[in-house]
Amino acid sequence: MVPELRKRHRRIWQIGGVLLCLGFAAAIWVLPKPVPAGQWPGNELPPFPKVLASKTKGNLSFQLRQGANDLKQIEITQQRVMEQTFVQVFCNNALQGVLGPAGVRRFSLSDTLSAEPPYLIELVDGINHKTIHQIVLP
Amino acid sequence: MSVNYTTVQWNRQKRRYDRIMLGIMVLYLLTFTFLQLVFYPLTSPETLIIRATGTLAFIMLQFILCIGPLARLDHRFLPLLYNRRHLGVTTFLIGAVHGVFNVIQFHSLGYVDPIFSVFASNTHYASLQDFPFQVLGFFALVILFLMAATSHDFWLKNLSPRWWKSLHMLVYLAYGLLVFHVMLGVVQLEQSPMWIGFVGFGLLTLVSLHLMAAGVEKKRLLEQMDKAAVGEGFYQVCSAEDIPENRAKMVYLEGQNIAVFRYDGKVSAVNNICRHQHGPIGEGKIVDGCITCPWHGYQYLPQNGQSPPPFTEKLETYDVKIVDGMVWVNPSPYPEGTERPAAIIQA
Repeated sequence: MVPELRKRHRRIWQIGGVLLCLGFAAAIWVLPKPVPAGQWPGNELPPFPKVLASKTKGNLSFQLRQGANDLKQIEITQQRVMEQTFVQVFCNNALQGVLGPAGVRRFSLSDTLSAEPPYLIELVDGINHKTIHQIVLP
Repeated sequence: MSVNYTTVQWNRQKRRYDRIMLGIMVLYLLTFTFLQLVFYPLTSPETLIIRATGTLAFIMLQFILCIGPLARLDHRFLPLLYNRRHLGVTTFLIGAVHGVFNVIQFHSLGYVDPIFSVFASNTHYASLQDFPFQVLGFFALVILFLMAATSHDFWLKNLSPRWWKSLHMLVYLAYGLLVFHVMLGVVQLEQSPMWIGFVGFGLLTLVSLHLMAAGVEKKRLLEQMDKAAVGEGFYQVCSAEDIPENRAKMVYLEGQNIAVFRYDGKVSAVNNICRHQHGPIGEGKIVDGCITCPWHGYQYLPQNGQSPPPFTEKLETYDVKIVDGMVWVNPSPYPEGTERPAAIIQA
């Protein structure tokens, strides 16, 4: 290789290496809070036995369920797939998971969240950051 | 090395190289598919293809970029360099499958042109977290396409090695774009430590290898310059015994990059830069009486720097003499292909 070309390679990797590593670190820095384990479509949780409340909005049905130790669970039934590709589910501003294809999705609330009714359920377009639906379960 | 352009200059080594490459690719795709079906049984076939080809193309690009510094650090990796071109074109093809399936799956069902949709469906260009990462992958694929399309000696000859090399150095930009394509895409979406480790390990390995190779080269160059001593236009290079038979000593004198070859009890000096892709002639060896470039096998005669007929490539030559067993080189170059008498090594 021509010495001039070797020098160009060296400079590219000296500068590029630093920039890539900084960018890599920045991308990790801005990582969103992880979605709770088991809350991705395909890993459905079993339903809690007792239904406390039900509401319907468009093609979506919402149920508040109660399990052992007074823990709560939100169940969302989608009749059709959502128009938005990435729909996040929040309960009292805490991210619970995402919706997937049509079907039933369940989100178990933490001890703290279970003890804080009423429950404001928000469906948010995760790409455009727009709230699609808001519903309150008692 | 060919007089006329042919689509692919096949030979036994290239066929073997390609067979091994395809074997490893098929093995990877099968393993990936198996693991996806075990851990994510609801994955659709389109998603499976997108993920399998995306990861494979990224790994292949990573591997390709490691070959150069590895070959400079250890000559045992030189065979990997020999047919890197096929590896590069295959990487583009795999990346293209990933890109096309993505556009079909995510952008082809709307009211706007699918390519326009890649740029317009997410407009958070000012946000790092929500950056439209698909755009980065798109531009990386464009660069890989340009490289694959010009990956032929026709383009190398017509663009000139200098411009061709500059164009192909855009691969570093493509790699950077792909790192961020992954880090701002699947990593932001899934926050998986596996993806972070996968990209981070590759990035650190690549940067370290390139910086190590650059350091070794710089040190070698400085040592060559320090050793030389002036005498009547000639520089003392080394002892004739320091050059292994059919190998070379590389020196950098008065801006000239020179390879001094020892063969059949003689020593000759030619320019160290191959006319094909500016490969380091001096890292090659003499095969069948011809200096053979380690990168792609281009050959030159040591006494006149000419490629054996019917080939037409030529190198500059230099005067060499041996005094008391020491090799002296005059760095004033003769025109390409000029015959110069070899210096005889006294027994």
